[in-house]
Amino acid sequence: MSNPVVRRFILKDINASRWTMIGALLTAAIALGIAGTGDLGAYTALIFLISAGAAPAVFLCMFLVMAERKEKVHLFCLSLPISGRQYLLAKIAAAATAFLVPWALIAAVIGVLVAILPVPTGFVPFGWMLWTFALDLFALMIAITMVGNSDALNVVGIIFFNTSFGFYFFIFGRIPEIAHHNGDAHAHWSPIVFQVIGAQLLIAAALIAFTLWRLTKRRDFT
Amino acid sequence: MSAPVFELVGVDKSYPFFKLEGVRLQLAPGQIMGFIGANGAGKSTTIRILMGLLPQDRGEVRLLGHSMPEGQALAKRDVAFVSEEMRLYPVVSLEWHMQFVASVVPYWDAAYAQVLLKRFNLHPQQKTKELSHGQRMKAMLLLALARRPRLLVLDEPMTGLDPVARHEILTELMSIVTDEERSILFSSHNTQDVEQISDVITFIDRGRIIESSDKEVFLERWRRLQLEVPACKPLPPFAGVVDVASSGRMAVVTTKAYTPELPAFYTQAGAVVREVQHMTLEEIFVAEVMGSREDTP
Repeated sequence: MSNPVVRRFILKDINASRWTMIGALLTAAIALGIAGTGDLGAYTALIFLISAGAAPAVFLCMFLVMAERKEKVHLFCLSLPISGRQYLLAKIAAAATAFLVPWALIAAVIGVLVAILPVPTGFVPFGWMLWTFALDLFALMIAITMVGNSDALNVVGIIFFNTSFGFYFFIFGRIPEIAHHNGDAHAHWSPIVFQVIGAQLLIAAALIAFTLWRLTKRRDFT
Repeated sequence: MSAPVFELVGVDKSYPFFKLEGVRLQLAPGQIMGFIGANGAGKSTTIRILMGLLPQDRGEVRLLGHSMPEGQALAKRDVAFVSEEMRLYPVVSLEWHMQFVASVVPYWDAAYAQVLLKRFNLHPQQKTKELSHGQRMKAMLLLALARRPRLLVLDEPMTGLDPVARHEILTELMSIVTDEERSILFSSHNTQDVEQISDVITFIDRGRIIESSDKEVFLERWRRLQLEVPACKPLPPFAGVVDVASSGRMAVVTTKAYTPELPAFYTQAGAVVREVQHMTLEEIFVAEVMGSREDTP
């Protein structure tokens, strides 16, 4: 991204995403604030944290990519000295930054809090699985909106996104090595946790690589 | 002779229900080309190929010496493009757009931008979603003109504008080409706008360029002759005559290759030439399109 025009486009989109990033951080802060207030508080905090980690994927793809194309603002951008591919790569770079910065910050803060506070950590392995699953959803949304170029596919992606955590709890939350230790005082890092996290990271990387590969083939930027 | 600002050679582009065929087009520095065609004739497709937004299936496209679409980022440093379809970011102001464009282009004439703000009566702090269609087109034109581009590409910029806005924009366009190095490609289905400002006229219909030449030559070549023809005396054929419409003893002859010999020819043939009329660009366009469609199997 040494091209100054591409860099300017990335900064523009990161700036446009600032409220999404701030919103994610605030949601996470609220989650942490209510996490220790009983069962309902803990459950609400979990929902809030999942939202803080994953929902920006949809917001960013909707506002940075889908809306810009739907409203034909991309034609204005492409009238400037940037190629179609550079424009889309700038979008991916900006969306990834706007997604990963709050994602990593929230993970770091929670990691530190769990390390220094006398709280039960049995849920931490499954929490890490959920947190890395958000990366898959982000990569999937990027792939769908950047490669698909179809409103119907975008809607399917959003529906999948909304239902995916329910299925995730149903499938992975019931694996005995995970389910039996979620309520423990100390984290139990069974091999399956690492396998799932590793697979999720690979899937996210593969989706992003697929998106970048497809963009090198794309020639129609209307 | 200077190199053309753009050149399309044998450009084809196929869609399921539309085909751009063998487009050959070029524009010299300092000229304004009026690119005229009916809706769906292929104007926007041609312009999108020229700007690198769409790849051609076949043929070569060069924009300011850069091969397209590969060289688009470099070419667009000196080319500004405004289309009727294009939109600005709705929730930010015109001033934000001016700052953003200024930060990514090699040259931005801030003083000229201020002049255009006043001339177009635009308010820089206004969010672009609050602009009317005419104001939005003026705003996009401001963003393009203040770049002082070597080539300005306008795709249907006058569509939906009121007469005052059209006049303001046309006046501004005419003023910028006093600089002989700046060129404009101006597409429209409205021949009146194009006639006012163009040096070169190009007609496109059903994906094919049907005519492209100097405007004055066009207007000079096309004429309509009103003749009074003696009863039962058919008019002899003459090269360049594209249409003969008869009603009783009166006949109207349309020619695309008028020479002073033509009235003399008809007089010799026994007809009385009542009037030789110039044609408007719109009349010429319609005659060209109808003639081209009759020739196409």
